[in-house]
Amino acid sequence: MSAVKAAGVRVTLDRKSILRGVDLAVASGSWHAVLGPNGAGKSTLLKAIVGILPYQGEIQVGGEAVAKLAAKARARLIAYVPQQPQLPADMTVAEYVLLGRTPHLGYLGVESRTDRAVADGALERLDLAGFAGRRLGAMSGGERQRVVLARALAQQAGVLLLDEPTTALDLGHQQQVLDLVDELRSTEGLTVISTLHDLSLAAQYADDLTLLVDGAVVAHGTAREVLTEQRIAEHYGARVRVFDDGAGRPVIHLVRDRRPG
Amino acid sequence: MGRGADSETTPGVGGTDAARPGAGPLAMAGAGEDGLAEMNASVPSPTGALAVDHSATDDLVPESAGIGESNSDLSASPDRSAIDGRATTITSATSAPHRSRRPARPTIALLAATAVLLLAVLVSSLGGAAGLPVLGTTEALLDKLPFVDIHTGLGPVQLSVLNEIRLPRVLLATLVGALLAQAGAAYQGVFRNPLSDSGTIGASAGAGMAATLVIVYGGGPEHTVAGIGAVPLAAFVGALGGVLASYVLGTLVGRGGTASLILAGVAVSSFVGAVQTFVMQRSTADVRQVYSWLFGSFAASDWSLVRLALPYAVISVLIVSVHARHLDVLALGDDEAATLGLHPVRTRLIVLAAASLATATAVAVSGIIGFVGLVVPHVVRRVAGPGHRLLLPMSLLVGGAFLVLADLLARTVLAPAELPIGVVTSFVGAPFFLVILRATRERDR
Ligand SMILES: Nc1ncnc2c1ncn2[C@@H]1O[C@H](COP(=O)(O)OP(=O)(O)O)[C@@H](O)[C@H]1O
Ligand SMILES: [Mg+2]
Repeated sequence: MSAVKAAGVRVTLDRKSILRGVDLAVASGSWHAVLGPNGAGKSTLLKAIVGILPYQGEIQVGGEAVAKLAAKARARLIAYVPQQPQLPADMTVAEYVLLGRTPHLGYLGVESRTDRAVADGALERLDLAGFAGRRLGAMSGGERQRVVLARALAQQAGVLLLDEPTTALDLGHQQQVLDLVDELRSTEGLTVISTLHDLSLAAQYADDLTLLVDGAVVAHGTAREVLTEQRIAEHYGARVRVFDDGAGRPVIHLVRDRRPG
Repeated sequence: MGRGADSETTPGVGGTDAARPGAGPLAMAGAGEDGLAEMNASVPSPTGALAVDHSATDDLVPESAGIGESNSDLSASPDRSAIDGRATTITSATSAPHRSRRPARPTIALLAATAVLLLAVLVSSLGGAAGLPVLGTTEALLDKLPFVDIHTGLGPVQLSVLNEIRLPRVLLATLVGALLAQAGAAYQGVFRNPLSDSGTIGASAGAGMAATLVIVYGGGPEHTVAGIGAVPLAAFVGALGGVLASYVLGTLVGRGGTASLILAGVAVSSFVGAVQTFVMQRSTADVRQVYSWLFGSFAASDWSLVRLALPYAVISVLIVSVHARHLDVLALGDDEAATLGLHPVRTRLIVLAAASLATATAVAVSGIIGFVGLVVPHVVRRVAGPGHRLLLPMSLLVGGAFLVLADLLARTVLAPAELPIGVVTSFVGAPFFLVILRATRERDR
C-alpha cells in the first residue's frame, strides 16, 4: 500500500547537481536506510520525497505520483522528521503533537474529537501522556525526539521519513528511539525511510539499504550485501573491519592505522 | 500637540459636528475635548498648548527590555530526565480520549479580557474635561446595547458630550489599539520573530513619510480626497507601500526568508526616515504639525473616522483570525509547515497583507502609535501561551483596553492640554512591560 518508488530523481540546487538520477524501491511496511558520507545527498533525497524540494524524475507512494498531489493530500501520505526539528519553546507537548493533524483539517483548522483522540493516542503510544502540558523548551533530548515522533504519528501517514533521528542522542536513547520506530513500523504498518550515519545501527534495524555517494546510488540491497569492507573503504575513506553479529547482520568497526610511521 | 492653540483660531466647531471632512489626527479644528469649551461653561477655554518635545523621540523606541529571550531556549537542553519510554505501553492509538487539555482556561482568559476592556471603556467615557456622572454614563452606555432600554439621568448636554465626543474617541482608541496589537501578533507569527512590529517592516515609516509629504507639500490636513482627509489617505497608502517595498526588496535581495524581510524593512525605514527628515528640515513651518502626527493622537476623533476605519478593521481582523492555526503551524518553520500540507509563502503573504491593512487603517485615523503592537502581544503571550487562536483575540481585547486607558491619560494628565498618545504608551507602557517581564520570568526557564 505504502510502497515508495523513486526513479531517476534529480535535484539541482544553486546550479549544482545534488542528486543525479537516484532510484529507490522500498517495500510497504519495511525499513529502508539511506547511507552515505557527509554531503552525499541523503537529506536532499528525503526532502525531495516529502516534496519540499523541486526535483525531476518520478516519485511514487502506493503507486501514486506525489508531485501531482496537493500539499495536503501528500501530507496525509508522508510524514517527515527533519534532522533538527523546530520546537517552539513555549508550545506545550499536546499542542505540538496536535499540529500533526494539520493535513486532516479544513482551512479554519478546527480539530474534531477524533483529531484530539488521535493526538492523545500518539502521546500515549510514545509514553508522553504525562508530559502533555509540559513546555517543549523543558524537554530533554530523548524526550524531544519522542515528541517529534508523536507528531509524525498523529499525522497518520503510511510513510515515515526520518533524517538522522539519533544524531543528538546518547547510546541508550539512540536504541530507545530506534526500537520505538521499529515497533511503530510493525504495529502501525508504517513504511520507514531513514538516513543514518551509524552503519552498524543501520545494519541492525533496516531491511534494505541504499548507499548514496555524490548524489548517485552506488549499492543497494541487504546490509550484508551493501556493507562490505572494500566498499566502505572506497566510499568513506575509512579503514574498517566488518564482523557478523551472530544473527546475520554486519557490525562495522573502525580500525587504527598500525603501519609504522 | 498644539491642538489647544489651533482650537483658539478655529473655535466653535462643536463636537456634534460629525460631518467634518478630512478629520485625521491632524484635523485640529475643535477637536475632541476642546469642543467642550462651547458646551460647558465651567471648562476654561484651552490655552497652554503642549509643544511636542523632540527629546521624546528617544522614549518612543520600546525595544529595550529582553524581548528576544522567548526564542532563546530552542536548543536541546541536555538530557536530565531519566524518564524512559523503553517499556512502551501497547495501547491502541484510538484509545479513549483523555485529559482534554485545560479546557476552561481560554474561555476564562477571554472573558476576563473582555471585562477589562468594557471597564476601560466605561472609565474612559467618564474621565475628561466635562465631568459625567458614573451612574448616568453607565446607564447611557448600557442603553446602547441591543434589547436594553434604560432611561438615563443625563441631561441633553451631557448626552451630547458622551455621544459625540467621548464615545467616538473611546471607540476609535479601542479599535486602533485592537488593530495595532493584533497586527503586531500577526507580524510576529509570520516572521517568527518576537521583535517584529509595524515599526520593523516599513509600515510606520511609510505612513510617516507619506503624511509628512502631504502636510508639507500637499495642502495639509484640510485637503480632502473624495471626502476623506488627505493625510489619513496618504498614511494608509504609505503604510501599505512601506510594507510592499520591504517585501519586494527582501525577496529580491535575499531569498525571501524572514530575516531578509526584516532587514529590508529596517533599510526601507531608515531610508524613508531620512527622506522625511530632509523634507521637514526644508520646511520648518510644518514641523510641529508633522511631529504631532508622528506621535499619534485621538483628539480629532469623531464618528466619521470610526466609520472610515471600521470596514477595513473588520476585514483585516477576520482574515488574520481565520489564519490563527496556520500561524501555529508556521512556528515550526517553512519546511515542516510544508510537510504538514501548509503553503508557507502563500499564508505569510495573506496574513502580512491583512496585518498591514490593519496597521494602515490604525495609522490613518490616529497617527503613528508605537509600543502597542510590540508589547501587548508579548504580554498576552506570557499569560495565554504561544497558540494564536487565543493570542490573536486576546491581543485584540487587551490592545483595545490598553490604548483606551492610555488615551484617557493623554487627555487628562495635563488637561486641558493633551499629551501625544505615543508618549503615553511608551512612558506608561515601558515600565509596565518590565514589571510584566519580571513577574512572569520563571516561564523562561
Ligand atoms: N540549499 C542548498 N543549496 C545548494 N547546495 C545545497 C543546498 N542544500 C544542500 N546542498 C548541498 O547538497 C549536498 C548534499 O547535501 P545533503 O543532502 O544535506 O547531504 P547529506 O544529508 O547526505 O549529508 C551537499 O554538498 C550540500 O552542500
Ligand atoms: Mg543530512
